[in-house]
Amino acid sequence: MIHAYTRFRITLTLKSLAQLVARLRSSGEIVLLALGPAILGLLGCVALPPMFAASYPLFPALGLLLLHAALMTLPAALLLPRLLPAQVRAWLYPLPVPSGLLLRTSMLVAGLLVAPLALAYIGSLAIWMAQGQRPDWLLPGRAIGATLLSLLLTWAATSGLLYRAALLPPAPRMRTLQPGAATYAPHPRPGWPMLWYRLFWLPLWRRGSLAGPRQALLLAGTLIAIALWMAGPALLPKVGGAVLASVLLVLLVHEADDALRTQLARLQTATARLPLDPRVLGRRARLSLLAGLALPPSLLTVAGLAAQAWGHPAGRLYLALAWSVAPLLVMTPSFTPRGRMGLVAFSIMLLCAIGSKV
Amino acid sequence: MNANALVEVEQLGFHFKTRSVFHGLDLRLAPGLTWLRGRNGRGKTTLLKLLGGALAPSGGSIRLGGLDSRRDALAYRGHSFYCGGEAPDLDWLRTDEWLDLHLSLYPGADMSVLQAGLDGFHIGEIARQLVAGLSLGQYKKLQLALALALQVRLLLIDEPFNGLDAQAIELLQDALARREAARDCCIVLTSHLPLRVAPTCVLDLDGQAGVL
Repeated sequence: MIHAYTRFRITLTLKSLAQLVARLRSSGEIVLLALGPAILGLLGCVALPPMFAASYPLFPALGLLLLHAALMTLPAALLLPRLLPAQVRAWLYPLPVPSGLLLRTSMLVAGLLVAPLALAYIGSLAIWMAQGQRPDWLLPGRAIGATLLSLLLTWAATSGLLYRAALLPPAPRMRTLQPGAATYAPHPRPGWPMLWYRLFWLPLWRRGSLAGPRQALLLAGTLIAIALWMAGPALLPKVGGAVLASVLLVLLVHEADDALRTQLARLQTATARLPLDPRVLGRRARLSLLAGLALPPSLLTVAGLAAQAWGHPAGRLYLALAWSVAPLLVMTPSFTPRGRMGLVAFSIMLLCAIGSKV
Repeated sequence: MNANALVEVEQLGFHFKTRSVFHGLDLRLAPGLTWLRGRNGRGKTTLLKLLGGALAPSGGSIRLGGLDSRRDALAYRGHSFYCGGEAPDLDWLRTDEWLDLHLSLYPGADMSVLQAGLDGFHIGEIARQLVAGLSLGQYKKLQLALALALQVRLLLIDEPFNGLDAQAIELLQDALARREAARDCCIVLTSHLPLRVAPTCVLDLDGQAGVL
């Protein structure tokens, strides 16, 4: 018979994971469609680090395994605020739960989180062990043992993280108070820039939102990929640069558009009682987003001119498509999530195909 | 019925998915303080939201000084303010940003009244705190301080005394008494507690025709 506390924590974990999967579903499907074979290849290599560590003498091998387990625990550490949200911790903490039960529950929940990794290890081990010609460094017995040890270390570390999180009181709510109490000095600035900043920019960065950092990372990645592609370093094949820049460009537009649509839906209740026209607000927000999303194609245009990439018809076609992606995705009305995913995937494939000819 | 009515509600209909709230409701509200009463679930908050333009009626009309809540929605909402709700819906803003946003959308607010309200409610020093981090009472005080400073023609205040300390209740009652005496706008207020200030009009939804 499972204790009610344990059952609750399992349900909470499964719900949190389901929410995360739903949140990442469309982007994940796009990435799978565009980079499916590469991801399968990476999954095949997931047990490679512990297997390789096993070829070293005992102490260096243990060090490498500990490092690998720590890296594998990182996703659980990053997901902790979702797995045990602050508002749940606030009322969970005072419950009289014995520490033994807390530990067993944490181990069980950690097991749930580590289970997909265990499956990936099994698949990866099977691929490497079934090879007719194994590399010299691969010692089957030690490799399996090392992978198992790495998995157990990851499980133990994840259990520890969950146990500690459930044991500690939640952070005080008033941490939002800035140093020193401040009196209010009115600065009402009418106009669109103020509205955009308060209603669309700030929510990207506040209250634990990851939308802002995600978009910033994608923007930086896209600009770097474009610069690398056009610079054409010897280490990066031209086609690789084109594919990377194309995928990141479309994902950036998709992510930014998704965040904008979410925020517009979130604002519906608030704007209904304020003297704001939601249609005008939405139109202006989309135009502002398009202005921001013009940065990567602008860099592409300039860098491509310098690299004389737009001399061929394929180059000019790619440039036209790169400029069209943002208006196409941002101005297209919402339809089914799968239809949207199809449009995004089609944009990626088209850009990758034409980009590889540039 | 009132001859110098500022707010005119005619044949108002409103239905939630699961139940009907109003059907053929007629009201006339004059400048001054209207105390809206009624048992829980009678539709007091719904009526305030309808009057504030936050909900759209399914039938009939609401006019504020000739402005129709649907046809002239933006102008209507610019002249009315709904003060209610216990959870902030713009919860990513700091208190100063929240106030600035509202002040820019409702020009002409009396800044001295706002400052006096913030000081009087003892929330003058929370400017850099997120509205989501405020307590229930602090958020209510913030909304009230703003509401009392706005130059709107229709002020809708939902259960203002819930969560307020004794001193804040005194301050609010005084402010309401001043506004009632000035008769410069129409204040509709819901409260289960008796008011110290005599309202201009009492509207009891329990006995009102058109309330289902």
